[in-house]
Amino acid sequence: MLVTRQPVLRRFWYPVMPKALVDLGPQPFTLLDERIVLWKDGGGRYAAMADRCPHRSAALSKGWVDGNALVCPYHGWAYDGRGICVRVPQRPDSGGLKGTAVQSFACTERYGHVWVALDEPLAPIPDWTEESDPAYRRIDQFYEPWNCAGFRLMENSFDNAHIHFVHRRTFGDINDPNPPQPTIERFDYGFVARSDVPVFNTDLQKKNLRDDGAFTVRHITAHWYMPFLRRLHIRYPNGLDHIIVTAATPIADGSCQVVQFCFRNDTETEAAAADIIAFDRRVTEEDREVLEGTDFDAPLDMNSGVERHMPSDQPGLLMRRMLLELLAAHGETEQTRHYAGRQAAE
Amino acid sequence: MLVTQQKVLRRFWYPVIPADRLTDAPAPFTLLGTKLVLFRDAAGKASALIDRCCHRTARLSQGWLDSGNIVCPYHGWTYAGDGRCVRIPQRPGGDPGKGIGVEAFRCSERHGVVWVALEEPLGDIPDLPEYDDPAYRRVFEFYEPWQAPGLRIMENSFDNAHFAFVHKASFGIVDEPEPVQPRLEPHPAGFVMYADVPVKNPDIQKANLGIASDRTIRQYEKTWWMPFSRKMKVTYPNGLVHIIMTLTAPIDDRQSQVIQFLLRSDSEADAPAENLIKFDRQVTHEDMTILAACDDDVPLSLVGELHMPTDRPGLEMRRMLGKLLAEHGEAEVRRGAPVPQPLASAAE
Repeated sequence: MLVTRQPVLRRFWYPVMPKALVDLGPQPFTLLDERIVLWKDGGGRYAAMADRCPHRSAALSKGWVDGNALVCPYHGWAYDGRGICVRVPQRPDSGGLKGTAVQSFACTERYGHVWVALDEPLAPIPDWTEESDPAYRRIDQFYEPWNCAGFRLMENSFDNAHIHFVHRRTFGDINDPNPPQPTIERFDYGFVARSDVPVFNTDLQKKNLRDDGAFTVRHITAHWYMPFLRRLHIRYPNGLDHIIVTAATPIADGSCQVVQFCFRNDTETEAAAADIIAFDRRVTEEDREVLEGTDFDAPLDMNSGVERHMPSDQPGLLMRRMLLELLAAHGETEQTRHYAGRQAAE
Repeated sequence: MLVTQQKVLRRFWYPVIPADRLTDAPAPFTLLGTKLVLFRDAAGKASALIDRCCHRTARLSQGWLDSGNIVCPYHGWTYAGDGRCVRIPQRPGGDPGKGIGVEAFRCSERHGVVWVALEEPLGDIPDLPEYDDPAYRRVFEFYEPWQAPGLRIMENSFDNAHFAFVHKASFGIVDEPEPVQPRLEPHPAGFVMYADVPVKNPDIQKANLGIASDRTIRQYEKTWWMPFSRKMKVTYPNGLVHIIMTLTAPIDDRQSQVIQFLLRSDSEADAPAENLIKFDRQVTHEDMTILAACDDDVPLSLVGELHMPTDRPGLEMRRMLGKLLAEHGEAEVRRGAPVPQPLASAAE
């Protein structure tokens, strides 16, 4: 699937940037090949608009905020959060140009991040109660572009089989490659997968988890929120919750912005955020190395023969099926280089 | 010509890695835009597979070897040197079942180099009798990517006119720019070119060649190994033979991977390898710098670039490659470089 060619994917909320970055001033971001500018107006409201002034196409993200308006750096035309032109300095009495506007997009702030939907969202941003629960802290972990399709990262995180190879140095056990099968329940625009995975416990994790055993068990409740968001709730035997939220926000067909934060029900004294990030960083880098080597045009049709499958691929195959259903429900067919090539060959 | 767009170029053997560099770890290599993984199988035979697992497309070259089979880094699917999947760890007993595998390519080892052909080769890897002749020692020089297509590198090495300019700091005689006209003869590998060229003999070469004069003569016998390799045999007046093997493989339209080694009729005591490499390093730097600045889309026809008589070997390469394409029903694929204007109109 080539994500930029599936308009329905514009109808989801994506976390695009930590709000602290946007608080510094207007910022550029590319979402599904759409160049946007993110900014915060004088009233503290976050806005997302096309990053292109309709006058001479200058990038508004290189401009500045003046009150409740974003000012173009080229000639000073100014726009409010809805994209409406409110001032043209060369025509001081005009109050802007009627009917002139840049395209604006749905934009909001949740979980310390700015979220954007390019078209009318099909589903709300998930509610995670830990955000306001004093028993939990939120730790912002990663914000970085990866050269792979967001879908590859989603599939990867529901794939219990890769742990014993990709993560053999951090928590996988290469001598026990047979993964437990999760039980899966669908919901609107997503599913939840549950499984108990025995894992190896490194020294750093013994400290982070306050568990001295050589092995431990991860009780996993993993939510997939269509199309590229997951929440991985790991409960350890001692009651510790490590809840990782990862978005693979689609930049273009071959790249995504990884946004990751976690919720923990322990304290900084018990486990330092820096150590928690350090372990998750190692794990993430292991995934990244492999995923950046994959073909970004992941085929959704499991019978296409483009890729082979095995039973532990079930969550990823369900994602593919649900995405195909989503496309069909919106009158789209999968856009891919693979089948196009096949049709041309026939 | 854009090499990745000409199918018939897939039907040649290309030198991809010095044999002694392919040991117990897999190596990635991109050949004509196709990503490969190279490794040695259980019997030590060099193997080349597509660098893409048939399960989730991960790169096998990021994996590791297990008893001569390559293990995918993602889920451990394991492939033999012929591409057959021999183990799926998640299946009972690891049994992969039948009919699962990845594409394998012809892979061979000759003259101390691993060669790969993406499709049925049109010819054999050329013979190199001096490689196995005890009268010659072998000196490995370079294994590195150049920002130039193979045809530019080949033309350059058969071009007597560039010495006085590109190599003025090493062996070219800047005051004698009129080049020696070469003589070409057919050869099974491509063609062979003869020329006796006077060159400058700097101090480092005086020691390397055992020739004390400030000038000397290089008696060239250069063989073009179609499409992108050459054997350059230089005989000096004192009988010393210096053979430079420059073997190149097209990575993509713009880049080539170059393997260079020497076969010399003298001994380490006569001229230390270190000094031979030092001089050739200077010379190859001079060439690679200028070649990186040329258009990678070399036209096979006479139009598109201007020519002079000493360009003949390069023009013969272009003609023979054009003929090869035609014989295989292909048109030359170009990016559409602008045609240079004649000097007269440019001056207007």
